[in-house]
Amino acid sequence: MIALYRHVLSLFLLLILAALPLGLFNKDEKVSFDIDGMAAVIKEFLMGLFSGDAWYYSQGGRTRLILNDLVSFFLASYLYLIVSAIIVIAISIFLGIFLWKKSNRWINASLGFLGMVPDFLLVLMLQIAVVYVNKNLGVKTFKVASSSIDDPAIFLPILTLIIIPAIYLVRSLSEATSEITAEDYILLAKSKGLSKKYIYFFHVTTNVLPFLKADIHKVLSIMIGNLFIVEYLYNTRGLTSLIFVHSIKFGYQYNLVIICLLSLFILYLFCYHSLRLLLAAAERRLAK
Amino acid sequence: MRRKPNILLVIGIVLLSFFVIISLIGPYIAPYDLEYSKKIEYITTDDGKQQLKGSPFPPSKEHVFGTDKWGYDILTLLLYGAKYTVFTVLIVAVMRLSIGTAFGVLNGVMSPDNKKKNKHISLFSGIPIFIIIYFILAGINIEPTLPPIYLAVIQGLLMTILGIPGVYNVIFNLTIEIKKNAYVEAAKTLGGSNRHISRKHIFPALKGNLLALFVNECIQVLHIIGQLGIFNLFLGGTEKQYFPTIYLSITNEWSGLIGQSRSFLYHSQWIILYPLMAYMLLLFSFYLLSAGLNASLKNKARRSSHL
Repeated sequence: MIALYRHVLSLFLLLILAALPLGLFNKDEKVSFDIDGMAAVIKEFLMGLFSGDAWYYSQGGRTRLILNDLVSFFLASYLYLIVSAIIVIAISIFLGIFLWKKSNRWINASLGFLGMVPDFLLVLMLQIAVVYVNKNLGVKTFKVASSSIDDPAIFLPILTLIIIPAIYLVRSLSEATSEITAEDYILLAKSKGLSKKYIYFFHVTTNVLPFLKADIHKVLSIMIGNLFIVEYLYNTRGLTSLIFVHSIKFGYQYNLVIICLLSLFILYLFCYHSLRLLLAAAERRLAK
Repeated sequence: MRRKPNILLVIGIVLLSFFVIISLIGPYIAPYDLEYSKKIEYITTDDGKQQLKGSPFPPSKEHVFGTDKWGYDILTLLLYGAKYTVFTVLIVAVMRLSIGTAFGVLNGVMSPDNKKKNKHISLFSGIPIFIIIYFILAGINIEPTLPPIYLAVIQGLLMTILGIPGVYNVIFNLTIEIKKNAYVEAAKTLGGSNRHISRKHIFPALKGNLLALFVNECIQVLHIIGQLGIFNLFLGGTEKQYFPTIYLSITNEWSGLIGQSRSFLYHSQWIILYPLMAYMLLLFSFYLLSAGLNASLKNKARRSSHL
């Protein structure tokens, strides 16, 4: 019951939040706060949900059904996210568990700073690097940004989405692994003469996976935060770019923003459960 | 036995104090006035000819970091903007930490048993902090009517409020951990009040973590300011010009300078490179601090690995 109240409350907050750009603005040399206007916008949206108006958005001159376009934007975001999340998890299992001693050293030495560089700087630096390589060596490596829908940039957005969460996760998993390899059952397994590979697979990995599961929330929120920047700076299609690029081009549309923010939540759930499913399958294999 | 000095920590402290000093005296040592701009100049080319050129000028003796598109000296802009970046980051981090710690410790001590908070998924799980601030500031930050200092304070307050829950959770969980120690139990049995226990037992044990957490918060605040800058919401206000539409930072805050010169990625790269380097160096000083602190915190009671 409390959970339901909490969701209703946060939905309410979200409705207000998205209405703020329409209610809090500069007008006639001072800041005006237009509560009535905001209430009217929210009311219009809620009524529009039933009358059908709220499901349409305008694109310059024409109006289109949001759901028609939303699905493809959603899928684009989902694909970028899930592909990079799977790579992040694969990297972090490999480096964080099997090579935890080495990766600890790498992270302390140099990689740690890379994990702290904010996403937008990473994007800018990658773009500068690609331009530099192209200018000085004449080699065309990767697309710096998408120029059209049919020709999206793929490598750099995914690379950017991978780096920051991967370093976080490798660090956290190698921490967990170093704790677990100090446990008595590892000593027992060793004294039984089991091979190192076997111990890593069936004793260490199975015990580190719960840590990984607990970290998925954090990793996904980092990645969705990065997704906003990535889609904006690389000009790729996606939910978050629908919010911003569309607002800049065609003006702020309340219903579109709300529906996008809500589908962002659905995106979060989709990714979370896809990853849990994947990990459950992996656990199942290990348990055999 | 003499302990090895923590080099990372020392370098970090030196760098950070350098930035703090720069932001205090920046405007006084700046080579040019903030309003001074050089639109055109005769430049001697390699073969000795004089040529009339317009801004932006590349780095030279007169302009160490070059000038931007409108002829403003980049070093001067950086020196003037430093105070906004450095002090906002430090102040917001201190406020986040002190409020979050106060509530975290109190609630941790008072909560009856060792219950851990489990994580809830909410509608806001998928929405990063800077997006929330974006929606609030979008209407008032561009072509502002409020003075820059007000806007900086508003943004600072928002960053503080939205950051407190994170600090609170960390401190709450740490407090629960520390509460399991026997000395807390003993203090409780002897009749220590909650206030006494938090002040004399919990807080001293938290101290080391607090510093590390502080550095962490600094880094996060720096990220948020930068991310907002990418979406043209610069700390202290955004000036918008039309035909062509461009956004300029009013305060010349560093991530604002990065955000406004984003289009110079492909030519005249010094315009974006130097603000970028300043920002990175500030970030690096926080990184060194955090690495140094972590090194001195770690390995106190670690068991050795069997593998």
